[in-house]
Amino acid sequence: MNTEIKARSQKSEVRSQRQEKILHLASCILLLASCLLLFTSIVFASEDFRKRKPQAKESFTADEDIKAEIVFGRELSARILGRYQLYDDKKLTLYINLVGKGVAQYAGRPEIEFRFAVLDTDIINAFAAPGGYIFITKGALKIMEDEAELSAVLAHEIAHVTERHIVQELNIKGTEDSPAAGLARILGGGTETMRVVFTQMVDKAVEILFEKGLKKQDELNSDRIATITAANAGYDPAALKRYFEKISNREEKTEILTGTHPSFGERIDNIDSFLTKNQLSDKKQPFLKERFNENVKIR
Amino acid sequence: MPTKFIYCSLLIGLLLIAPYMVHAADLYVQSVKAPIFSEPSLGSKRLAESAKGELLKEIEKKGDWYQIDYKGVSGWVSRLLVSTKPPLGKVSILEEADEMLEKGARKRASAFATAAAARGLAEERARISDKYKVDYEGVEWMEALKIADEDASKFLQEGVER
Repeated sequence: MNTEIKARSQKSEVRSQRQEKILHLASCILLLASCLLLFTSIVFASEDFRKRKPQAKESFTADEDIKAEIVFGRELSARILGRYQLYDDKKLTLYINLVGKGVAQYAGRPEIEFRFAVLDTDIINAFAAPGGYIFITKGALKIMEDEAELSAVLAHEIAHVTERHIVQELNIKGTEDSPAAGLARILGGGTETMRVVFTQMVDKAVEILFEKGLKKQDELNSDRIATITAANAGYDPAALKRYFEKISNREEKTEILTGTHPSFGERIDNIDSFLTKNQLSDKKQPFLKERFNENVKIR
Repeated sequence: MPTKFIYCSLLIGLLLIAPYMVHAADLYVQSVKAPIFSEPSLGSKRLAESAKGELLKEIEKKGDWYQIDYKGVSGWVSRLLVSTKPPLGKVSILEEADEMLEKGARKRASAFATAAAARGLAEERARISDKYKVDYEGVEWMEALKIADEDASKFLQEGVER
């Protein structure tokens, strides 16, 4: 009898030891899993930081920071128009603005009033100044075949504004980690020195637009965002790719910026993989060739 | 001792996991329009189109997409078009300038000078640098053309839905 009780108590002791071991192991696994989760979230957050940074700033940006961005963009636009004259065609400008503002409705900066104009030059290019000033050349319009291509090129420039690429490239350190705030501080300085600094910043932005170009990654990101924006607006998602293919096949190429600017081949590949990833390669959406030809008569 | 270890581990583990369990947030549509898709892909079915300022309840985040609840429908929206803060209204430096000219009022300078003053100073600043030629009349010509969002929207719809 005694042996039986002893055996039973030994058994229950073994069972409780086993249970304790299992609990011990489970808690170790839980602790390890939590640490792993925390670690991976930190790693992903740091990897994604650059990508997310402009978006995070959007609504935090104070009214005056945006106004500073517009004043800066206005100055830069005056210099763009000092280099290339406006193409004075009201009907065409109205059409470009309707297309541009239509596609801008699918962009994430509601506080910006986008304005579009045509530049009287045969070079094939488009420019964006902070604050929503967008320019497209007569040369670029000449090689376009439909409204979807126009909307995609304008959407690419809109993306430079929404992502604040130029302001970030200038690397002005502002308050709350916002370059726009830095711009506002320089603009608000009021002193002669601050005015000189502001003008130098604008001149530096001119160099970025006409000589150095933006970062390769900024161009590729803007191509992807433009593809999303134009597709969301209802245009052919492959329009930007078609436009780049046309330029890359030309003998006399556009005024391609050297330095860090990606090649058209690289940009086409980038859009191609984006279209495939988003199941957009075979998606049929309007080109609007007729409406484009009715309104764009520069040949 | 082992029991203490188990309880401590469980407590620490739960504390670390807790923030991920209450992750869902309110998202506001920033763009004038934001399509809601059935999957986190632009090629998937378009379920609805939310408008600027509308509130979307976040369910999950996946890459560049948020899974959200929109009027009882679960779908996906691009992260480019939403933010955790409500969207801002249009910001302009031009209306203030015109208002000042009309009233002839002298307003107190704000943090960086009033928008109108900043606009007026543009020409003055340009003189500091002779590096580039400037054309402010061209900029004003651009700014004079005003198109309402509704007109642009109508024009777009007439085209893409034809």
